[in-house]
Parts: sequence; C-alpha cells; structure tokens
Amino acid sequence: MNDLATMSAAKIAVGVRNGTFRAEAVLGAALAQIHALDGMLNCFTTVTVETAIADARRVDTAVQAGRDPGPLAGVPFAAKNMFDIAGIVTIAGSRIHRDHPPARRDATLVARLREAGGVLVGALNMDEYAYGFTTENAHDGATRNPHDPERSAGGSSGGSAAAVAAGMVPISLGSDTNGSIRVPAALCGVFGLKPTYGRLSRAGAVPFVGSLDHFGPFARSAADLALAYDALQGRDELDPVQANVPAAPASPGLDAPIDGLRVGVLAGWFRAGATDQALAALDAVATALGATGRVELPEAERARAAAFCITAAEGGALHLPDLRTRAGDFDPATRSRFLAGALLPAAPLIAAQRFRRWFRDEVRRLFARFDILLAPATPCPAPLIGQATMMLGGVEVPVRPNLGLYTQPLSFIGLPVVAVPIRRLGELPVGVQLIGPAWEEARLLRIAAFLERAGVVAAPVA
Amino acid sequence: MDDAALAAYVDAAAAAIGLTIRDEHLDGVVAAMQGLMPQIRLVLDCPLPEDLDSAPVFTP
Repeated sequence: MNDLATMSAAKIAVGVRNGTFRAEAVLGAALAQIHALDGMLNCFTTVTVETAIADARRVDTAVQAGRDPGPLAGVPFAAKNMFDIAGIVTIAGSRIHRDHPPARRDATLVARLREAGGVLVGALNMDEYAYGFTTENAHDGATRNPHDPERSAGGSSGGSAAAVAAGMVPISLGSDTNGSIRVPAALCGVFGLKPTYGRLSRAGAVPFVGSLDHFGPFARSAADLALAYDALQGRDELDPVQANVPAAPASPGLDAPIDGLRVGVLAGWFRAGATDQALAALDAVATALGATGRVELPEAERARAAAFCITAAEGGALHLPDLRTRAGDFDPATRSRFLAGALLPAAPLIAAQRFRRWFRDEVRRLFARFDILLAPATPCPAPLIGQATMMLGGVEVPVRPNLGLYTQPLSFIGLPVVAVPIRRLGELPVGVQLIGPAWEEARLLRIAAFLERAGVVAAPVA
Repeated sequence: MDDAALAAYVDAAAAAIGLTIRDEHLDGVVAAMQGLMPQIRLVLDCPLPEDLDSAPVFTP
C-alpha cells in the first residue's frame, strides 16, 4: 500500500502546497488503490481518470506558478453517484437515470471541493435513489464492507463510506435523508457529518425527499471532515432550500478545549434493541466526555414514524412519472416502497409535517439543558450482505429499515450530527452519534477531534 | 387492514392517480403498505394543537 494513498487530506494538502510531492503523484496512488481494491469492494460506478489527471495537473501548475492551489490542494475525493459530475450521467443508483443526458456542470458541492483544489476521481455506489440502508443495488451490485467483504457497507451512501474506509480516497460526499451518511459511516468505521438541514447546498444533486435531504462529507479523521466541511460551506442561490446563515468554519477552533460541556446520553428509544457492542461504544464516548446522565427524547418513535411517512409520500410522488411508465425498471428493493408511497393519503403526510414542528420545539427545549446529546448510530455492527432479518432485543426484525432506528428521529428535525467510529480489537466497527443543536456543526467537530486525541475514536484504513 | 382490504385500496388509489400496478408487483406493494400502516397510525394518533403550523413555511 502506497503511503500517499492512505495519507490524510490535511497532510496531502500541506505536502502538495509546499512542493514535497505533486498532486499527480497523489492521484496516481489513489487510482492504484482503487484499481487494486474496487474489484472486490465495488465502491465506484465511474472512475473519472481523465478529468482527475486534468484536475491534478491544474493544482501542480498553480503550485509551480506560486498561486494558491486551495485548502484541499491535490486531495482526491469522490461523490455518491447522485451528485452531478459534468460530462457523465448522474445515475442515482438507478437504471432509469442511465437514459438521462450527461450532466452539464458539477453539483455545487462537487464544484466547491474542486475549486478548493480537490481532485475528483469518480462516482460512488448507492442504494437506488438513496432509498435504503445497505447499498445492495440490483443494477450495480452490492458495495462490500472493507472490514469484512461478506458484510454490508451500510447505505445508502455505502460506496462513499467504504471508499474512505479502504483508503481509496481520504474524503467523499454522500447524502443523508434518514441516516444514509451516519449508518454507513458507522458500519465502515469512518467519520461522517450530516450537517444541519439547509446548511449545505443541494443544487445539482438528485433529490429523494426534499423535506429531509441533507448532503455531507465522510473522512478518516475529524480534521479531514472539518477541512471538507469548511470547503463545502457558503451560500448558493441555486438552492432555494438553503438557509440564510453565515458560514461557520470548523477547522480554526478544532483543537480548542471542550471544558464545561453539558452532555446528555439519549435513553429510551435510543437504547432499546441496541447490542452490547453498540452500547459499549456509547458508554466509552459518554465516559470520555463526562456525560452527566441519561435523558429522554420525547416521542422519538413517533418522530421516526413521521419520517417514514414523509419519505414514502415525497419519494413516491417524485418518481410517479416513472412508476407509471416503467415500474419494472426500478430496483426490486425500492419499487414496492415507492409505489406504496405514491398511494399514501394526504392526512398522515400533513400530520407528520405538523408533528415535525412540535418535535423540533421539544428538542430545542432539551438543548437549553445540554450542549450535546449522544446516541448509537446503529443498533448493531454491519450485517451480512443479503441478510434479511436480525435479532434486536430478542425480537427478529427486518435488517433494512431497522439499521436507521436511531438516525431517523434526528434527521427528521434536521439536527447536525457527527458519526464517530469505534472499533475494538477483533470486532467490527460501530458508530456513535454526536448530536448538536441546529448550526453547531463546529462544536460537534471539535468534540470529535477531542475524542480522537483521547484515543476513544479512530478510523484507521481497513 | 388485512391484505385483501389493502390490495383493494391499492387498486383504487392507483387508478385515481393514473397508476397501474402490475400483477407481479401487487404483493410487494401490499407488503410495503402493511409496513407503513403502523407508522401512519402513530402519526395520526398524535394529538396536536389546532393552531400548530406545518414545518415547511412558504415565503412568497
């Protein structure tokens, strides 16, 4: 394994900027790693070799000319294949979108990383239209977990998490509607950030559920996650949903002390069914942060139910034209749910959106008492690929919907969450959610960096 | 609702929005609807104040 391939984004950027090595050499190492591993792991649906070489040369030229190549100088990255990449078709994990024309320009977040000096190396596998938690895609195959290729990478951003975990790229982009960044981050043992709803631009990415869609980065360290997040921030007039809040860079204060933090550990819904391993990881983080006690998030189960209804209805309605004319071309794993969602009556959808406001207000009150809340990211480590059911709390339940048990109630109200990875010797990785009040991503990243320095969380290459 | 009642609902609701559910897809759709039913009930059973606005707010 080449050191350049598994180097952190921060170190790559420093090395490229000061001329220690060239962006083109870093790219070569990343492409070699992808070539060596992707046949087994199936993270990539497209590798953009030519544009990547052009990107890397542009960075090297800037360095040689004494110009600023950007904070991500020469850092390879890849994006879930629902993000537009100029010149290639945005398939969104589907067969149907393969018939669309190539994208004319990059999605805003892809463009931001490239403008910061990042080198785009390709598009990554996902559940069809982001409707799933396992990345077992009928058209493109399953993405395999780098820690155990017999197991799921999680989803729907499974390719994004696995590519980072395997050392193919130090940074990737994914989406999270109900847990699709946090679940694969946990199962693949990497860091993932689901920012506050409305923080980052969604322009140029295929939507799934407009009310709940978030986009964000994956990385193998808190510092790299912050570096990517900072490059992604900023207003974008192309996204009407983006909130009018100023950018709040996380990197500058990443190593600041976290003294006096009021930490609550979510109880009730967020512990029920969790395996001993998931709870041990939670306890390790809680202890390191000096958590003061357990706290209930009221009506969490109903929040998950409401997220289910909104997801089904909006997703079904979005795809109704294709469901009418070519239902047979959908992945069997999503088709039934999209069809059912299209048939949902209006009353539960409207009630869910009203309940959402009530639930948000309740959780805001909770954050008057706490600076951060903790919960497991998933109830268990990665299930086997193809596994239909699993035991949670002594009850046999279907795998796919239940991987998002603890993530759905939180994305439902758009809270920022950093998923931090823990892997004990001889075990598969699991994740813990660091949950903050709206717009406090920088606080969460500072806490993630503290946990990393304390040796509690880590994401070594698998 | 049992599967037969849900299948009847699926047929009628699909017809109302110009959607044809193929025979080979019907069982899957009914199963997905069955999965949604407990979630729908949880949401509809929640007593909410009449003056509580929906979360999304349109700005003209």
